[in-house]
Amino acid sequence: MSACYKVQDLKFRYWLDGPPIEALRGVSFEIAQGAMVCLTGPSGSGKTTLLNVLGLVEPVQTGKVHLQGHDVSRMPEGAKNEIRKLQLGFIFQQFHLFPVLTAEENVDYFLARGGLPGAERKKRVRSALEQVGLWNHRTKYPLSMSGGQRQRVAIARAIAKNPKVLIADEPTASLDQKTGKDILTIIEKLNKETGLTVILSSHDPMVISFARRRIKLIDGKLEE
Amino acid sequence: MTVALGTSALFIFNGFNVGVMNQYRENTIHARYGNGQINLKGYRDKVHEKPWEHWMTNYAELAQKLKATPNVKHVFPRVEFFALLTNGRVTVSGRGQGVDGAEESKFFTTLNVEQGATLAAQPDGILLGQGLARALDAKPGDRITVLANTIHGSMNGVDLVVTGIFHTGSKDFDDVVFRLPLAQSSLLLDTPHIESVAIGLDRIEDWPAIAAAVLQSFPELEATPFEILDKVYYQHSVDWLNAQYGILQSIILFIVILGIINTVSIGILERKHEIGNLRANGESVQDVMKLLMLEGVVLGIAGGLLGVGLAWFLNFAFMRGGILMPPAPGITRVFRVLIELQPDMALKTFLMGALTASLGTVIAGSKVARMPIADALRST
Repeated sequence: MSACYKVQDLKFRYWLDGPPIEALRGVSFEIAQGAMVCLTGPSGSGKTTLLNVLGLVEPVQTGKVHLQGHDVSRMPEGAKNEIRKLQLGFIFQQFHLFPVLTAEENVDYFLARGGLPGAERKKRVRSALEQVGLWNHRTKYPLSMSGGQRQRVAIARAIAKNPKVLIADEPTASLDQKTGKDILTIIEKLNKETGLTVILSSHDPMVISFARRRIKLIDGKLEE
Repeated sequence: MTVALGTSALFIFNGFNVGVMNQYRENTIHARYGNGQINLKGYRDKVHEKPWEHWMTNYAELAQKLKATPNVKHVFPRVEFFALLTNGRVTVSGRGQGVDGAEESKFFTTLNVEQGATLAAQPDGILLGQGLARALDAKPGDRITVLANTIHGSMNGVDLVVTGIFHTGSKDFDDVVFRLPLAQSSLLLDTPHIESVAIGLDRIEDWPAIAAAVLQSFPELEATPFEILDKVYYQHSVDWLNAQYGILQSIILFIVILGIINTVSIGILERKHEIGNLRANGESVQDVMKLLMLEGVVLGIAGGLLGVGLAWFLNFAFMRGGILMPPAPGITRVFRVLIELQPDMALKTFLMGALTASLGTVIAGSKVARMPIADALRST
């Protein structure tokens, strides 16, 4: 199976007040296409930083990162924008839905911004909402939805783009256990049925249990 | 809402300023001077020992010409002179104005007759200023004798009946001035000549054309607009008030702009997550800025329009009757200021609101759009 991600000697530093903080200290690994991986570790271990680098929302400071065979380490910002637009889907802990848009409009938003024709957008929106079981709630606004429903809309929004990779940072942290489990079940199903590569980040054992592979970080270093 | 309220506040403030100025102007025109006055060239430049030697002898011809001039509504011949007034017990000095009472009562409506009636067609009436009436202890119906020198130097007098007592709001004026029929003043001074002609127009904008027409037909005359006639009080007051309003308006404008920029900026800064989400999903900095700018412009336009509409509504609903103001310096009368909203100011305040909202968007938006995506997503 070909590698979705190939990470070589990745280092990352934060500069705050005082000396720089080494969030990643030379991390190397590969993630296969279609894998469902969870980045784990205690708070401050660097898992969110690593997830952000894989999601191209943080730059590669030192080291190399290949995504789908392309070196993204020194890629111009415009090219990264295109990758994030077409190949990556994001799910956040806080959902980050647009409160003034309905569920359907939230899912449709980035498809419209990407210039997809209307008919194709309608098809994808319906498919995505059906996969998360929310087609019948498509006219609801986020504020009138439960946390679990909002996260499902967020998943639908992410997968409507037909991404190659789904990146989820603490996707169940704002949800109760049962709802969180439902969310992860949907993600797992997507992974198995569509071959979507899923990279989670969490320290919740329930979330970790869904991953078929765990990448554990301790103080910015890998411990598998 | 901030844009709307700021736009509205500026618009109403300007309307208030305009209302005050217009009220002041109308008071000056319709109380004393008319839109302007005509007299012999150079007459007002100095004090004359024998002023009647510089009065107009061809009033009839001038009046005919003026009445035939387009946009001239009223022509008021006048003479002014110093005199003594006595009620038999008290004698005071005053400044008399011989006027066409019937004609003047149609135009000089802010003379404000507080007792009795204005001078109209009464052949032997006299209208006293408030201060003068008080000095003479006079009331409507009382008999007053006016004593003055004729143009030949001899003393003359006329007996008149007080028709009314007026006040213009200017104490200096009300304490000395009285009005009597032109025929009586001609008799008293023993001259048919006219010192000046006041003109009443419907629109103050017509004055320059009319002045030019008079000068063309009567080159020996000059036409002086009211703001020059009353330069010390009116023009200086207007200039001073304008300067004051200008400073106040600048302060208000500064506060409004700051408020709008602050509110718009906070709104954007509070949406870091949303902007981070956009960037994470492939929107470039330029894409995000375009979205924010569009939003800023739409908000600015909507806010500006709402503000202008709100001002008009507030004025119509609550301030239609004007705002009662205390007496201004030198004035003894309260007056009511109408908020006069100006169409050109509507455009200016609307543009101010729209542009300021856009500017606030650019300032805050460029900061947030350029933030590292992870920082934007991470911020609380």
